[in-house]
Amino acid sequence: MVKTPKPKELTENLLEKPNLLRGDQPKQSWMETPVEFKPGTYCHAAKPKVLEGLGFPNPREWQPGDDDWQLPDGWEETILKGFQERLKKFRSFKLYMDICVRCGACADKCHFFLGSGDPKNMPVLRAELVRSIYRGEFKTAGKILGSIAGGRKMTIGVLKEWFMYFHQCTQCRRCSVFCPYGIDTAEITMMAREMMSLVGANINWIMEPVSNCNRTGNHLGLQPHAFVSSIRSLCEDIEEITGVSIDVPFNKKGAEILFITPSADAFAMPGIYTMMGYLLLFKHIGLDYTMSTYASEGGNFGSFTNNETMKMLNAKMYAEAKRLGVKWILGGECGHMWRVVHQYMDTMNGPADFLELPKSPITGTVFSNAASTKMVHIAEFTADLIKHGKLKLDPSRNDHWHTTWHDSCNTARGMGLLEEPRYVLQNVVNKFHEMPENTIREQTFCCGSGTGLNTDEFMEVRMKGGLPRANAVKYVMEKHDVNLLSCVCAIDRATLSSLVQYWVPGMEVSGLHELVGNALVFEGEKWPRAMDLREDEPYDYEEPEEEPEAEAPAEATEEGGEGDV
Amino acid sequence: MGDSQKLLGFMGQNASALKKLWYESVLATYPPETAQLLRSKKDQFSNPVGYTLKTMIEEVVEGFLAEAEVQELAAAFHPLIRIKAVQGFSPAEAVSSVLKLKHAVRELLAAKASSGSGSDVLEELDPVIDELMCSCFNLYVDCRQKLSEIKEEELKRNFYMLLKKADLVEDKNTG
Amino acid sequence: MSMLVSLIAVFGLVAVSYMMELVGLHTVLGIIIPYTAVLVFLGGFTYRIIDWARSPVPFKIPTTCGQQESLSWIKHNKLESPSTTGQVMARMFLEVFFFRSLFRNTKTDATEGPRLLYTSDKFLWLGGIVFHWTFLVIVLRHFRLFVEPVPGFVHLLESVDGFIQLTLPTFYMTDMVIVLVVTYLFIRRVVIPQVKYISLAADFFPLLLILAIALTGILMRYILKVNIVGVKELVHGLFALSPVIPDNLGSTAYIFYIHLFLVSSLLVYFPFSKLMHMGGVFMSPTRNLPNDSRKHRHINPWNDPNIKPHSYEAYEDDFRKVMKSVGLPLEKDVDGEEEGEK
Repeated sequence: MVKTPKPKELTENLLEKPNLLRGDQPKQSWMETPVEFKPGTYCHAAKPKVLEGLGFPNPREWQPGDDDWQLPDGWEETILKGFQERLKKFRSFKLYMDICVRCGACADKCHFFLGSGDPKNMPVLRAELVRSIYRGEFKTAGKILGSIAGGRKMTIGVLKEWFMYFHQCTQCRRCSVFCPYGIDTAEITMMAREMMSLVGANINWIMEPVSNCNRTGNHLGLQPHAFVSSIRSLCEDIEEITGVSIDVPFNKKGAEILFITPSADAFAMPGIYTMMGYLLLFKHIGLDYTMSTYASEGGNFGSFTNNETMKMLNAKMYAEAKRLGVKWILGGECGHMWRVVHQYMDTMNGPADFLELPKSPITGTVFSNAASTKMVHIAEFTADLIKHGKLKLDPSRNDHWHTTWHDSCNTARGMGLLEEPRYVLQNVVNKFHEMPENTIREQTFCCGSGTGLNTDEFMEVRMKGGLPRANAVKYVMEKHDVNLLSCVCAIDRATLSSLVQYWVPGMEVSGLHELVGNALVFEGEKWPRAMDLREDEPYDYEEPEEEPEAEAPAEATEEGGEGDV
Repeated sequence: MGDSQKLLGFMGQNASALKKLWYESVLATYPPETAQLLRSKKDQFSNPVGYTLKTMIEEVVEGFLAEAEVQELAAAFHPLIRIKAVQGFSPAEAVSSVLKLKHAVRELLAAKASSGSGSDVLEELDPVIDELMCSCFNLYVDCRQKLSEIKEEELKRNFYMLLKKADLVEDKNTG
Repeated sequence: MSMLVSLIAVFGLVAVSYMMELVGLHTVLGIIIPYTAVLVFLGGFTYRIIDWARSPVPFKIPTTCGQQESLSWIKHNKLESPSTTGQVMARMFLEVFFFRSLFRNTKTDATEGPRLLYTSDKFLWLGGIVFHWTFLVIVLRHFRLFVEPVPGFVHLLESVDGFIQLTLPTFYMTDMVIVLVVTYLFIRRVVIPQVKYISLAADFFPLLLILAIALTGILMRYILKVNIVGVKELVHGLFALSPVIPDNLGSTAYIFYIHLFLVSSLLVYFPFSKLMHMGGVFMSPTRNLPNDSRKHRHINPWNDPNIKPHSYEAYEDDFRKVMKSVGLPLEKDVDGEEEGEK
């Protein structure tokens, strides 16, 4: 025990293997630190067939882990030309290349940095990956002085770095909230992804849905009959559970309202319960609406690729609204769909002069905030219904849920939809607790899987990126017994489910309108009923013995009978 | 934890020094830029990793002093291991957080060589560390296993209605 | 490395100007260089602004940091999610004069947690705001030298700034503060690893240059005591466009020329550097646009009308049969068993 080797040396020997996360060479500047593609840390490359179908450049069989990316000759030129073109087209891009003072305020605001600890995930450094090329290729000082002036040349190493780190940014805009100049890394990520797609450095999880949406109208590439039968099958479930029979109109000309929601709500768990919620709501108020199989995807993975593709996919919404002759469009719960609808759609595909000023047929409320796009968010629509007392709600039907609210990045920081969903939520549930202040509203943490990164091969990075979100969820679970994380985003519904499985076992994820659907009280409905929309959550009918007067509304008396489960 | 009077005494006397030493040595597994962030931001929510690390160290050292069961000590390690399991650390790197406790104790002992009771302390510490190592190793593997399960389940959820149609999933699935 | 380069550059500037003064290039130092510098500054600054302005803003992309304007009974956060020009101006005002976004950083340290070293965020905002305001006050104070008669606001600033009468001539607090705050901002870049990691020469150089300007100014005013009458004569001459080189600057004139040369360097450097954030902050589309993109259509000058969606007709052609099988209405119902046309 007297002369053992120094304990530190022991560990150093044991852990000799170099790792990006280990500060092996603290002296090395970031420009000299190459990227390392390990399974779990990158998304698969886009398949050649998909790129070909869309007319994207350089389709080929390859993977990011390959040494040779099979780039076309002169690809550097292509990128640089694309770079200059974008500087001329986007003031945001040009300005954000120039004015960053590297104060570091954004450094610790990124969920990917907080979760991974990789310095290149600091928003400022992520942007510097591109700025260094800007300085090194286009600026006199950078061309002459090179790295002293913070410049470098476009090389394959840089492209690989871009590929890795611009696919570790979910364009959540949290950094932009804290930046004194509002520099938005999302803008830079969009540009970097556009430039990468000029030389065929795309990921499949984005490009395949784009291709599918374009032809069939939805991400999964499901044909019209599959879409219809899936929703019809959901209607059967609804009838079985609630006794309410619903017939969903599809592609119906002359309907008042066109309803568009992400296709995940038609196919995926737990989105389908949200879909059931919408359908119950529409039935409840007798809305004259239609869904479309042609525009059956609210989500827009084009917005994760380039602005042209975003425009092309988005154009279906207005095209279909025009064809069907509806008065206005109602949009379902989706994050990036609403970023596109709110900030891009009218500019790209407007003016929607064939539509009318949106007006709720039930309450008569005019949605003047959507006077030009003519598209209303369903949380706005439902909040208005509730405010006018048009819904018969029994929040106690959600008493098995103790909820908290996740603000989705896009609706929070790209739209400002904060209070509407909260108002709806608090009217359909009795138990609600906010997460800590610095993790919600405009400071909300991303799910870690947005912008087309929600693929399974990327799970490890997604878990890292989602850690700050999960951490706050865990806190309210432990402190307040919260068991349901509710949100208005389809990607959230899909990916937060996985996230909490890892970090916060026992937590469930739901959309807002699933809870609305649970709480809606219908004439002649099946009651007492044993289940909520998920079928596996039994109501506790033993309770009423202890006087149900708590805060149960009028129809609580009906609960008197013993329910058989 | 049985008879561990020497260890207890030593830890009791050196608790804060031990925490600090151990804390810094785990921080050193991150790049300095990151370590500084983990160190300086004290908010639980804007710095989840740093907070988890700090909490773990508190709980483990305090656990030792309160003569907690090894399982309880291991449980205190778990949040950190869960993080390291997805941060690109190898199993060895991840569970080395346990080893670093031992090294911190040794370093402190070496600094106080005069007391002469070093070997007793280490003798009492070794079996605990061994068990903690095993437990953390198990957890690391569990976490990785969990990741594959999550991938599988996510695929099933994403295609739920299709699988249901093809009778490939149970009708009532627990999300 | 980048720090060293910056340091050498600043020392180089000092040395060059000192040598020029030694060999008597007073006209160059006192007239030609300052005029050139001002021209470069004005021209460069304007050029950069115009250059940015030439790139259009294709989309209306404000970062919303508060509740949007929607239903009448939901409280609209007019500052954080402005929907009118007036509200945008209020947001920009707070942004430009009080660094509101940077201030947000302070909130996060409020909750409990293990006590640790220090909270850098608060200091960054404080450092930033103190630096910029002090800098502004100092520039405004210099108007005493620029124009005759001395504008009223200069007197006011001087009396407030010189409140503590420690020295002769009157000691200005801003002189001390700017040295301290620039030193802080510099040390911060060196000490905090993640900030050091991202720092370039372009980050150290302006700090060191401003520090050098402040120090030469202080030396000139309090210690080497250049003859202020001569200084005034020279600067007035410059501003009146009838430049003269006075011969009554005294034996320590060199410190004045160094100071003037460093200021000229800053002016020349300004338009080509990150210091342009001064102009850029007003042009940032995430801050200077209203959140009313669903209410008023924003025009993108390069919007491509030729980008069309995959048409409904083509879609129906692809899927007519299956659409019919589930009873979906069709635009063109083809009777034959097979699809009649492509």
